[in-house]
Amino acid sequence: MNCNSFEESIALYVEGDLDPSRTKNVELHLQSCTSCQRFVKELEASQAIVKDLAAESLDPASFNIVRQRVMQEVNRRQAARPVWWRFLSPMVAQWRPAWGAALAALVVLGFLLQWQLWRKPAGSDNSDAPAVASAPGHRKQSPDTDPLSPSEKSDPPQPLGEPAARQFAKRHVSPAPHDVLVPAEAQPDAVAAEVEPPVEQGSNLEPEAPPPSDIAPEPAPSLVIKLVTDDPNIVIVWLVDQEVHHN
Amino acid sequence: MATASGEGILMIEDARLDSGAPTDNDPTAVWLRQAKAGDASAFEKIIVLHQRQVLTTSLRLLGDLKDAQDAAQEVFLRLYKYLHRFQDGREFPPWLYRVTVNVCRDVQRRRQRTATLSLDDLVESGEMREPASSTDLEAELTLAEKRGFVKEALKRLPEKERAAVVLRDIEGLSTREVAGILGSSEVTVRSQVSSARMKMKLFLERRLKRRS
Repeated sequence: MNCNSFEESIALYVEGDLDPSRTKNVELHLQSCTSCQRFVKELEASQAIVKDLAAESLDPASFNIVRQRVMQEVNRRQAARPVWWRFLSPMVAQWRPAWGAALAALVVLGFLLQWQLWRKPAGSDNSDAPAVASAPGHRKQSPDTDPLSPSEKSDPPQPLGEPAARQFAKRHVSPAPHDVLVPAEAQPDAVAAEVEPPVEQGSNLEPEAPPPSDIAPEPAPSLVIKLVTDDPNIVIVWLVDQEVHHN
Repeated sequence: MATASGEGILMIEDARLDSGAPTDNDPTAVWLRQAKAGDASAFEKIIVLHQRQVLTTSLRLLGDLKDAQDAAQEVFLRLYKYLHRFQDGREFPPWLYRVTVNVCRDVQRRRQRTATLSLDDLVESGEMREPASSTDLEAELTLAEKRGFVKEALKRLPEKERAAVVLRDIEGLSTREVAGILGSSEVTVRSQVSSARMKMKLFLERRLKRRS
């Protein structure tokens, strides 16, 4: 290997930039090559001059000019920002991933709460939920579906309130959300039952009680469920046989 | 990081006191957060703390104070513009070096300032293959002359070699740091630095001979 091939390595060697194995090779070569020894000294001298440039200091005014120009532009840009951003930017600057996760959790929680609130009135409201009403005398006798409170059990049979009908529909039919269930015998009164909420709305929330034993057994009624769709020309009629169990 | 001027040092100390920043080794992180929140004075403190790094590096890369000031201004305005993109916990000085190198490259290309005769031309023409004199360069040259020659030599280096040697030999960064800033491999940086050192040595020897 001639000396020229060592020059590149020596240029790194003088500043300690060579890896150990190449350093060893260079040092071995230098032991026997006076020309390369001189090259090392010259490089060290020139490197000292180059590195001395780091000690050069600039006039403070040179820095001030830059800083003043930059700050002038920064202030101009800040003044041009909308007012809302000036209030918002500190929050944006303080943004942390954990805060993002907390916000996401809040959004999900809010969504779930809203969903629950939407579902709850749907049980006592017939505005957009399926409505089922049975005709007089067709009241469902199953204890667990009687929406009336015990004090009202002795009242004459009335059309089932919408919540009871809805509970029934939930168990026995699964109408589309826009469908309305109307008992066949109630026509055209069924429409009124569909529109008018039950009188005893509050009783829907009361715990269900077993039917009083003095209610006379009635023949098993057949329930006709009408699914009224958005299209007034389409009405789906569904006949449902009920079994009445008396204790 | 110390500034080159006494005034700068005083301003840094004042800034630390004013901001109430923790007296840890990196007040920049606190000031960056405050600047992101729209605190212009915090941004100014960042400038004061890092202006030496930006302006002197720009000066060595561009070789002209006016150009360097323009470049430094551009660097800090880019920093302000993209402040929100700078992630907390990231090392600030290497990022600032990278922006500085990029801005200087843009400035140089925009102004089309090429050296009349590059060091490569001198080497290829054989003018710089003269036998090296045994003269002690440091003894022969005055300080101002030495620095002037180094600046002239830097101007004539190819752009990438100049950036590598400025960051490695003058700014004193490690080869790995230089590679990270320039987006190159360490092998490439070593090759560029080695080539630049040899060219500068030849240039300085030639200048010394001409002077004597």
